[in-house]
Amino acid sequence: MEPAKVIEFPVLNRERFSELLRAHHRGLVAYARALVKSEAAAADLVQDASVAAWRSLAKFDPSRDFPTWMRGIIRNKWREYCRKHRHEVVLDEDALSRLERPFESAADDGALFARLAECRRKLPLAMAEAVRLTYDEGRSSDEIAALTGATAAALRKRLERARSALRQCLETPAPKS
Amino acid sequence: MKAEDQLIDALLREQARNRNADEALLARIERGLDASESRARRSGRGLRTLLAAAAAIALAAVVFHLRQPTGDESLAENPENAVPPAPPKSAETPRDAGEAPATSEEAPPITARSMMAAETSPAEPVPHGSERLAAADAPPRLRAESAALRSADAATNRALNPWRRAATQPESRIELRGDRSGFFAVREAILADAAVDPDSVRIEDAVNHLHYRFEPPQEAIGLITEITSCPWNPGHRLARVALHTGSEGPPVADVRLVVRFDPAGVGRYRLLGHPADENGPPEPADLPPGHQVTALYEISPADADANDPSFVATAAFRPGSGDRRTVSSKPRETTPWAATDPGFRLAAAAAACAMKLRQAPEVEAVSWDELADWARPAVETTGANKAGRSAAAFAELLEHLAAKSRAPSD
Repeated sequence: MEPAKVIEFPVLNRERFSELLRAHHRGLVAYARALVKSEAAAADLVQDASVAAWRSLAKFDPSRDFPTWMRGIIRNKWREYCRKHRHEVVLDEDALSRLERPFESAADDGALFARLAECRRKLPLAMAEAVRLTYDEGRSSDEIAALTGATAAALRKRLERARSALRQCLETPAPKS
Repeated sequence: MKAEDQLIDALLREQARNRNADEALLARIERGLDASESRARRSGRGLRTLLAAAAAIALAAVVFHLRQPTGDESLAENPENAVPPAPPKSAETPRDAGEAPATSEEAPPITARSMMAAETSPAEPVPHGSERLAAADAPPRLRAESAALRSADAATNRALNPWRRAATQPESRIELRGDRSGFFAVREAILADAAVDPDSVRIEDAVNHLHYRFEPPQEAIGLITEITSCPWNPGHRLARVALHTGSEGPPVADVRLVVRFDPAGVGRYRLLGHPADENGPPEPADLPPGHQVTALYEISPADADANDPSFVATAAFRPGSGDRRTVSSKPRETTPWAATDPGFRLAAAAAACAMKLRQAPEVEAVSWDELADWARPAVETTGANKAGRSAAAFAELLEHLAAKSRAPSD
């Protein structure tokens, strides 16, 4: 008897696929930015990965999480670029899996950025201020040094610690409320 | 910065933009998906065309053979004639004409032409263009199709300057003089719903009929350079070089503006408009106070993850009194399109508007509504001054074109 044929069919239509991209693209671009040199290259990577995902939609397992699948495609595209241009793949599997963690407890971009805002509220005051002046107000380190009285080196260190604290916070599952 | 730190940095930057979506990126992705879908449809059609072409060739060969039973050259032995009509890949996606695919996994679609050519003329490389199809004694159907293909290839060539390779031609000089009044006539024709002759629209006129707002320069001449993602081709970049002279200052003489591309990041580039650039180096120009010149380049990066494409623009000039001086400017890393300066977006809207009016296939998929969106931030951020007025008038023109494109055609 012939084995039953496996019929591959797309599990997402174009409309649903676009909706999912809309719900996740901001996190995906930030993820890609951790792999490549510029924001523009990160956006290109997400665009390429989206088109590749759309072409291989039949391979998408609906029991899996869409953004996790997309991050996998982004990683493959990135490795492909590294190979093609003989760049060293600088991140090992450990480093790559650490990049997954901040996304694990967020269902979509909305949840991710809400969680980030919540984590920012938990930062010590000086760190929160350094983050606000740097990112939200887009001030230069000289300006911030003048405003806060900290040296540029101290400010750099403070921002580094703030980002590290935010990462740890994002990796902790959100408290059930 | 370590990758994990970079990730949090990117998240904080995105959060600071205070938006729910990067609409420009989503629009680019949608265009990428559209292109992928139509390519998939074409490859199905390509096979059918191949079979039809093979049948046509066989029929033509039989007819030819019957007519010239003793001819020295049979059609089958002459690859010039044996090349079948190709599915018009370059006609449907002229954006790709003469270019490497944007991403590595995209093998060029196999066309009937390339397959047949490989079989019939193994020794000769097949030219990309359609010249080979022009054989005068080809059957009429082949002639007609080759003419259609030629005209589609020509559409890009007619509308835009050719690409230049940064490795072999890193320098481009920009013509600084010029009469911008040309675009005002085009504008009047559009608002009067009259027909516009594509050849009468000049990209450099469209870009430079607008007045841009710049910070007052520190030297007699100010030079601004920027790179952003190319809004009509996700694989490309768009660069702006803007020169302005001190609004208060005296005129400057003998001004030359040269742009030098870095081949480490730039594969090819083309100046949008200013076709004079192709006819030898422009003469040095004397510029009145307040004069502005903006030039836009479309850049095809050397590869997707090499150095960020870059260049240096240098203006050499003689101030009212004193020795020759130079000012140079180099863009910072590529700015995402959504975060690009409103003046740059306005200039890109003007260039794309002229490209559409010139019927350049590259911008066919970009709607007039999108162009109006690009121009809007400049209207909103400039006040009731010359820059604000020119941006508002241009935005109005784009709205008119958008409304016209939405109206049912009769």
